[in-house]
Amino acid sequence: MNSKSSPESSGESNPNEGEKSDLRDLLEAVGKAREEGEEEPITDSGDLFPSLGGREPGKGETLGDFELLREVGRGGMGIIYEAHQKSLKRRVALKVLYPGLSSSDRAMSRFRREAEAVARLSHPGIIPIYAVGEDRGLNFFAMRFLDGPNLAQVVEDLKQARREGRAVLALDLLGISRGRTVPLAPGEEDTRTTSFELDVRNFVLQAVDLIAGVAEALEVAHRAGIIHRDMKPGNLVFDRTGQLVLTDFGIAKTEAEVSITRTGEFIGSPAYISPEQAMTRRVNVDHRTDVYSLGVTLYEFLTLEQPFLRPTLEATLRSILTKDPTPLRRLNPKIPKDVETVVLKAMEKDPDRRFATVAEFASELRRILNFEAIRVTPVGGMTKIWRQVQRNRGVAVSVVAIGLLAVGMVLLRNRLEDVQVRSVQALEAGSELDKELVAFISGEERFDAKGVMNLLDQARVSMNRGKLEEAFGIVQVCDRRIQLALSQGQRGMVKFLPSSAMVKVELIRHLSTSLEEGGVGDLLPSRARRIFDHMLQDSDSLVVKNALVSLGKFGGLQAVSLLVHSLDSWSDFPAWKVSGADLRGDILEALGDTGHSHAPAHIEKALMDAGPAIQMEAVWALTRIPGPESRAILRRISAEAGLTRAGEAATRFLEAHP
Amino acid sequence: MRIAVLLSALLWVSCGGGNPEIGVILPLSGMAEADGNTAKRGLELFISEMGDNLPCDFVIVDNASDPGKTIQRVEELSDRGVSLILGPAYSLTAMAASHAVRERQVPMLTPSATHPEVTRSNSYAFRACFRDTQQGEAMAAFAFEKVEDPRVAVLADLRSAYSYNLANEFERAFQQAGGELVARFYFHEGDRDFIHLVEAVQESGANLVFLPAYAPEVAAMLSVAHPAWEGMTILGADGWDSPDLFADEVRIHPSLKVFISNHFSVHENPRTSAFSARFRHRFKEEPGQLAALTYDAAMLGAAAVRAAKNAKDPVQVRDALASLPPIDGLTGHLAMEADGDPRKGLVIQALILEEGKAAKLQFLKRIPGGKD
Repeated sequence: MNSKSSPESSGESNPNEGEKSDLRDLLEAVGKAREEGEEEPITDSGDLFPSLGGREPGKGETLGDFELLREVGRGGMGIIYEAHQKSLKRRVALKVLYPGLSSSDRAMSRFRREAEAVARLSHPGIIPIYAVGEDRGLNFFAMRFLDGPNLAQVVEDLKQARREGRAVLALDLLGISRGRTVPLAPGEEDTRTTSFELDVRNFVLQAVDLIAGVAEALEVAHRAGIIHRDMKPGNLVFDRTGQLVLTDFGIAKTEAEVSITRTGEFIGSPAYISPEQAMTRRVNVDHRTDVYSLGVTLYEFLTLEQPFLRPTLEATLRSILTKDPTPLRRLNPKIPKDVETVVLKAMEKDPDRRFATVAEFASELRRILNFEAIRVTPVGGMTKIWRQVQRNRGVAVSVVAIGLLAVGMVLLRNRLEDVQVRSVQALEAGSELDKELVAFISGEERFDAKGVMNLLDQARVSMNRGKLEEAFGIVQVCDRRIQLALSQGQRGMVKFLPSSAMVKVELIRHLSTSLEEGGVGDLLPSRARRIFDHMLQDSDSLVVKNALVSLGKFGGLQAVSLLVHSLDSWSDFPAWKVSGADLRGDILEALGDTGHSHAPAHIEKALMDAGPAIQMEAVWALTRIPGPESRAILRRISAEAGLTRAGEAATRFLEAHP
Repeated sequence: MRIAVLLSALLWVSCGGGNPEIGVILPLSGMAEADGNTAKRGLELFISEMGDNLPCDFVIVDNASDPGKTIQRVEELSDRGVSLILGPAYSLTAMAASHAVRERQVPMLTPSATHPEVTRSNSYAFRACFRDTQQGEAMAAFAFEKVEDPRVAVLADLRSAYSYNLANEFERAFQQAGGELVARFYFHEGDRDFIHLVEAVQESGANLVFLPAYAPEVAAMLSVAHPAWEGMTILGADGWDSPDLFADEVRIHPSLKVFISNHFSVHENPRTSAFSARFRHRFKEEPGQLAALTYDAAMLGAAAVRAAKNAKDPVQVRDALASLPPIDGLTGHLAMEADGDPRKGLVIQALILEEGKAAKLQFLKRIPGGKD
């Protein structure tokens, strides 16, 4: 059990020696940090470094190419201004290192590192750096200016909106309400978005979508070897399109550098730092610290509460190290179970138990958004208890053992009540999709023909409105329910598969048309790719065929990649396993249709151990791909004694097209 | 009155309450309305000719060619207590129905759905027609009869399980026999602008086209097929035989050479000619294959009801259906088997074009019954 007060003051011994050591280190660090000033209650998201004095530039001043317009905020290392870049006539955000830190090699190094780190990254979810400079002893760098609020502000606004009973929170992405008065420069395009609103009553999926985007951006940073280390709502800013952009890499480090936190130095904002950051003793802090902090950020977004923030810094850090967060659904029952599971996994105290990468975190969030089953499993009540015991080994085992049965009963009862409460609330307030999602996740046997037909009708309506991703989501909900019912022995559910297949065929058709009209060139938008990928896994061969034909028509490297992967794993296709449909011929046909130079090698590979029909398809595909590689393969086939029919076909083609 | 046509409100008119009932699912609205009404006329003719000898009543419901509505109709009919379900007519809806009838344990007899999946591993699903495997093989063999050194372009409707599957069946048989596939083209049910596709077929170097699709798309394609397809041999399938192909507004160049496989030919033999005469007399139009198939299927269904020990028990009616002796129906000799697929042949017909439109389907020959 944890002591409720500081061990130093109460004299109680901490039963967990490891934790005792951590706490002691931690409190020593707190003490040293207090040298900077009086201990302050933590009232915000953790701005630990106020201005340290020195002359700060003001409005109207010029630094290099930049004219300062107004101060917009203060970060860990410097002041952020809205500025006007004279040479390019554009608005920028200018981060100026605190004057008092300019003489500090360490501070300079960190400041420069931030600029260099971010400058290497290119992703719409990461703030781009435009320039780095120095003028009159002040160091600065310029980055894209974002008018929108940061997520911390939005969380506060959501709380306010709830108190006032408002249904919708419209986000001011242009910053008008915060005094943006600078007109657009000549030629500057006003790309204001039409609207971005959060549904105050249930913004869960919106929040999940936004944070999934952040995770995907963070993955880019991690792949470049950069850890943010200060992930928090205050560092996520809405741009004009309603996307969250990651800012303030001020304490980013590369993984190549020794990632050691030093006693006395708090890196990160306390309420969001990971347990390994909080420890302050020598521990390896790697990219998984960002997974944790992003998990906490999402936790706060969803529940509008910080999980570990306490009145004092030391209490906050202790909470991070030792306390399990309150389950999200207790704070917001609208949160689906899967969302809670994923967020809590990101917030595991042990980095080895978290998602290994932010990409995995993003992937699970995307699965939720696509109404697919997540891959992680929730931590069971018994495991939680066990871990609590592990963290508090000094507690009398006998007491715990006696209590286990009672606790188990309580947990079970709570879970059943929880399901009922959740379901009722979802049914009352949620959309059809919410209801289906809750019903599916909770494993309730709630499935009827009318429900399926309604869903498929909704999907058609969405398609006709051009909302293809929405239609896709609905179809997936429907399929998932069918599969779930089948797995529970309700074999009659297969009767809905033909209806579902027809809707999916229509969806693929709409998607193809949309891609052609959208003119995306060679690049398959990631969402389209996801839909194609899903359709290729359908058990209905007509659905798969439509997807293959569309991919073949679209062509391009991404389509080839999907097709090649399909060729390699054709025997894993549900269409093969369920209905015995050998789709290799169709895949080869689609590869031939792409006409892509990467295809021939894979087509040749498919010839091996294939029957005459597949061999003929391979030849036919090769005849449609121009280039020397196809011809070389056709010559080999022509000469191959064992490929009679295919060889003849290859020979005929080569003779007809010398 | 031995027929009840049930609209969505399920209005029921009967003079013989208490009789066993056969539910009939037809597309009486929607895209296939014309075909559905043709089939219904075939049933009406059968009922009127049987008169008081019928052992059951018929209840007709509309599925609008939609799989979801088909499932609902099956469930409604099952709840009503029918002994057998006749229909649906098309492969997609029949596949949906086949799952539903298995669940409800009510036998289903489709007059015209040819996709193999309809009856696969389903002891409650039967058909009164051949399967697409037969049709594909027959047309592949016919291709070699009509064209020396055939080079085929295959066209398939990717919204139709029937079309896609039949195209595959044909290709398999055609290539096994040594034919050369030069091109494949795809379209979707509902498409009407085919000029580019038609020209692409011409550019492919094909001298033969195989087009297993339904009549509306076929009609739209043939309307623009000239001059691109002049000199080619065009092969179709049973899906062509529909009033939609013979509509006045469908203009087809008389130089096109077109042949199809089918279930029924008006002038194949005296029985079919007599049926056609009776049909024309009553309905003032030529019977198509659906009318004849539905007539045959109704005969089989009524025979099963008669033969069952308990005519109101669907399971016993099912057993009786599987055990029926062979019949010589309008659509040929039919010997039902326990797996739901009969031994049955098919006919090859030529599409006769007169005055710039499809005039009739002329019997060329019968391919004897057999099973793949």
